[in-house]
Amino acid sequence: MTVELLVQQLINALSLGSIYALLALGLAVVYSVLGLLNFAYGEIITIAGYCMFFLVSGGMDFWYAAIFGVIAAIATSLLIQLVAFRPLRGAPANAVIFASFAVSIIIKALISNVISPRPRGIPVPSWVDGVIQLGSFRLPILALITIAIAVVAMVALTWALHYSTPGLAIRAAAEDFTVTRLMGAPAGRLILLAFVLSGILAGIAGVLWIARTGSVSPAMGFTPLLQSFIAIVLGGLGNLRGAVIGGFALAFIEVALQVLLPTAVVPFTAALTLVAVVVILYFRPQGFSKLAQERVA
Amino acid sequence: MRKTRSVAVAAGLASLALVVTACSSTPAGEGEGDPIIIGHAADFSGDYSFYDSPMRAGAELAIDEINKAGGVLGRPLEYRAIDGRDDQAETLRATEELLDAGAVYLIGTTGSPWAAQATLSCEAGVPISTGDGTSPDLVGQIGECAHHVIMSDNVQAAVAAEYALEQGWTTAFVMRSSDDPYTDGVPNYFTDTFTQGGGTIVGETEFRIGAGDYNVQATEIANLPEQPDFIFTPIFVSDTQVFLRQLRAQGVTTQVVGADGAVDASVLDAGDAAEGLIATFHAWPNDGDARIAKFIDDYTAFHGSAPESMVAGLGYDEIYLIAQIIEAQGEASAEAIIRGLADAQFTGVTGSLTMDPTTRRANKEITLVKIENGEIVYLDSLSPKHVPAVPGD
Repeated sequence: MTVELLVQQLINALSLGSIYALLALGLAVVYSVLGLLNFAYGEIITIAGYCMFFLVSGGMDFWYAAIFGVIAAIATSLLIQLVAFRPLRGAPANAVIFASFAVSIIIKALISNVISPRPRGIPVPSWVDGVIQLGSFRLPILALITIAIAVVAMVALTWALHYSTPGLAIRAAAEDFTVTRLMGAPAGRLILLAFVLSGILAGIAGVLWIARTGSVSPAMGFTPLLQSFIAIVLGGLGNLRGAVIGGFALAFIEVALQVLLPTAVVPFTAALTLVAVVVILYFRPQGFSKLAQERVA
Repeated sequence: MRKTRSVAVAAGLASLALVVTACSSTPAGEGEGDPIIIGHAADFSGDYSFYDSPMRAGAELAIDEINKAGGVLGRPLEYRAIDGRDDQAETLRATEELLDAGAVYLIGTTGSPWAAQATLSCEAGVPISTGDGTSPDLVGQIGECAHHVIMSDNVQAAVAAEYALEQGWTTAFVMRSSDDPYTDGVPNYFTDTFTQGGGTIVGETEFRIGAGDYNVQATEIANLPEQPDFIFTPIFVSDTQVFLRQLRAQGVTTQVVGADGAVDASVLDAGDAAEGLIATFHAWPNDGDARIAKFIDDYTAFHGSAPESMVAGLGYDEIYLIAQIIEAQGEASAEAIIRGLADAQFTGVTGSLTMDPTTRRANKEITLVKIENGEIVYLDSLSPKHVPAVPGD
């Protein structure tokens, strides 16, 4: 493999990892507070996508529409909280999981029946598909934008989690929700905040995902949900820093396997990726959470 | 109490989910006598609704036209479509319901529950089609009642290969996916005809369906020591758009040739990246084809909007094919339709077909289309000289 090819594939892995990390963070932030997985998480991205689709079809610029996409994601996240999680607070975990599955199915079916089961295209500005030629290296603009936006979002989140009171409360809740409540943090507000954060992260990741795929479809949320689920398991359920590490690790494993495996074995990439995840979990049952141990001092 | 209420909320949401997804349509017949029931248990809300829903829309138009013209053998046709949601149990339940209702013919689902559904239908002795399923090895495994009344993958892949060779393109890079029999089978058939005709496959790579990212493959192709004459891939929308954009973003200008999964208006969303794409398909309107133009006009008048996909033409043709067979047999029974299907000849809006009684598959011409100036345009219609053998035939 030439140095150029190696660098380009590294950029591919980094940009894919940036999206996975944001997605995983959004799923992990709710898990860290409630100890429950939101299986309607993928639909937050779907709704953000359809919001962008209607706005861009109406003539709005892609990036302005992206801002409204993120707002739609926050609203959807809050709505899921209101419909599936809030009425079931204190209920057995199974009931909440079923409720979030149901919300996911309802949203998908509504879009499929009311709008269309077919994918709808969102024209992405053509400069996004450009390449910056740096000597013999070709750097895709979208990959660079993705990495940059993800880094800014993660730095902002880290800052907020470390230097704002609600942020500290979220981190504390991630460690121990009951103790955090006993220390005076209002549970309702904390949960609401977790869903807002989850919506923002899913919205940003969704916009980057759509810039890549250029289309929306009723079932588009499935892949992001699956990847973020694997990433947070890998990172140690509920551990925020672990989720980021898990997201990048998953992308690197995926890209590395596709690049390095002989052609005859490449069809098994998806299976081998999961085998790699199982192997990591065998040796580190807590995922990367020890590596990423939060210090709540 | 709290627990009861919680479970009730969860159960309520779950039931609503079921109600929202399971919708069925039963356009009534207008004629004398008992209606002849044609069933369609397929996926109208999941991933395969992409194909099954246009089939249904086309079938509804044909039923309406036939009934307005007096029905078949003086009896109205009744079309019953039930959503199986690409779920094996749901599809089987829907199939059973249709068989119990007395359906004499079933249009099958395009998704994977088809094999189980077709087995059930065959046990009841009722003929069933593959829906928009183009894989040629489907009907052989099931039995005498299973029929494949649309084009087959081995034929469309052979047409792509022979068309490329005619253009003087002798080197191909193949991108396949083992995720699905379609994305795995089409490249095999293509390779068979292409190498048999003197072409060379210079390399192969794998992709994952619905991955949302094909940068790894695009980078690999961009870094090939020498670009091939063209890239052949059965990747389907909306993966096609992602792949084409990422491929062109890597600076690769090599011709791309695809199969029917790539031919959908949504592929145009890839903008400039989609320009030049050539693909094989069931049929496409060209200047001299008044039949397809009339179908599109009638469809638009009936449904209020133009067909989203020419797959609607397949559903439309299938109903007319069955109506023609019932009329010719003079009897609206499952046995009569199986007898008639064996060597049926039919001309519809998507072209002419002749059923092969040995394979129970239709021999049908393949259309080639190309994307030019932001539009899908008709290129040619061909039958291949070398048709690759189908395992199990």
